[in-house]
Amino acid sequence: MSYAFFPGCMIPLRLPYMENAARKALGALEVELLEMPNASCCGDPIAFQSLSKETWTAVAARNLCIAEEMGRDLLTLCSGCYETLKTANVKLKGDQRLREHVNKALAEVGREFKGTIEVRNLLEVLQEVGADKIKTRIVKPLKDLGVAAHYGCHLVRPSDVLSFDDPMKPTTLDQFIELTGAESVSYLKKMLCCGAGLRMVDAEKSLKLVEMKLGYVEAAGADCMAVLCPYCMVQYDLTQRTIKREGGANPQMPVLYYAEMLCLAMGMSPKELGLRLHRTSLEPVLKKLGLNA
Amino acid sequence: MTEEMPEGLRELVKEKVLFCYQCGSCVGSCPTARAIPEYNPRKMMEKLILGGWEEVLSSKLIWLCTLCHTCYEVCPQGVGISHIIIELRNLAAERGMAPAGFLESAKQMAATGWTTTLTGAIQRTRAELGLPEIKATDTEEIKKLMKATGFRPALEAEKG
Repeated sequence: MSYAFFPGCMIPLRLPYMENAARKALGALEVELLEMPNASCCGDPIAFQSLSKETWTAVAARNLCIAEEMGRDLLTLCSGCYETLKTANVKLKGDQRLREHVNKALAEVGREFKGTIEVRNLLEVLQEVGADKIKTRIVKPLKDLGVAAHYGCHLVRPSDVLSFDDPMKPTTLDQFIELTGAESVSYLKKMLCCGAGLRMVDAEKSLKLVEMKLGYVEAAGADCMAVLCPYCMVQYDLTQRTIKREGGANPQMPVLYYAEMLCLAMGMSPKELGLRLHRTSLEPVLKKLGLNA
Repeated sequence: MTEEMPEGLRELVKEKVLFCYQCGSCVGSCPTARAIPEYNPRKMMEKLILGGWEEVLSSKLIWLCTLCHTCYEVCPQGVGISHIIIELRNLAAERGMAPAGFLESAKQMAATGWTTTLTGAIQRTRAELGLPEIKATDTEEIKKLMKATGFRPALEAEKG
């Protein structure tokens, strides 16, 4: 298996430990990741989609063209990129008029959208690898670890375009959490948005949403959260101290990227994963798993 | 009313928004509404139905949506509210009413090809983790695409 690898902006430029874990997990499962020369930001589902759907689609299409030229399906790690790239891919494949229109813009940079590839997220690629194969690599099951799955919005919605799992009651991440030997803990408001899209306009209220969600996760007795999207990671991992400083609750909820969980279960060390780069301490989790930070 | 409703919006109102029967599923499931009670997508749809599109368009409220698309999924009438919001934002942006934060992202993208800043510290962290160095992307292509699609901030930057 081999994919055109699209890590996005936020992961490689701000949260490289997420990229590290994804590369290590997929490498261990013999998934080859090919660099995409000259790829840019996906097109950005919040800022760009809001400013101009047309520009948004064209920038996304340019990235899709690069994967088409490589003759590989595209794997993106970021859920925001997933919404952008998959929406553009599905719409451009299905709407001849839109495709002609966008191709006119692409012609100015010497490219053409042909509609020859698919856009995949991390869980889809893991599904393709198969649970059976993954199970054979689990040498250190994350026993007794209670994990709150946070899917994030743009992995599953809008569902008529993304068609990945149920938009309001998805189960894929829960299944993958259980595959590592951990327990997926049920909690209230599981599909509540992390609030990243509100941050640019009202940071304080955006943090309110983080505080609410962490409260529900804590109340369910989870040891940690598992996220997939870098924007959710920033919201939950990087803001807990700010919430406390600004007089809110005092959340101390470890937040892991799903690929990090998988790597730990495959026997990789916290050190090689760079887990020290998380801002909210992961110590309670590592202690429970009998690992040294 | 000073201006006729733009055609794209008029079509959306006719084909989607008019089906809204004001049940409030959108506001009941909306994350922004939980944090900011003044934010009410049901009321926005009501205003659109009643012809107050300019008020909705110029209101800061449309920029508070997180684009989580929950309302898009739960609406029993298939109004597709988050997509209506995107349409409204596009129209507002064309009229120069986009908030600064959104425009900053656009500038950053034109300048670097990314919406996140690349720092030396990150390159070092990447090296420590054994990750490949990040190479600059071809921003000329991005700028050309912005121009070719009539992207307002790009055209304005050109004018100086």
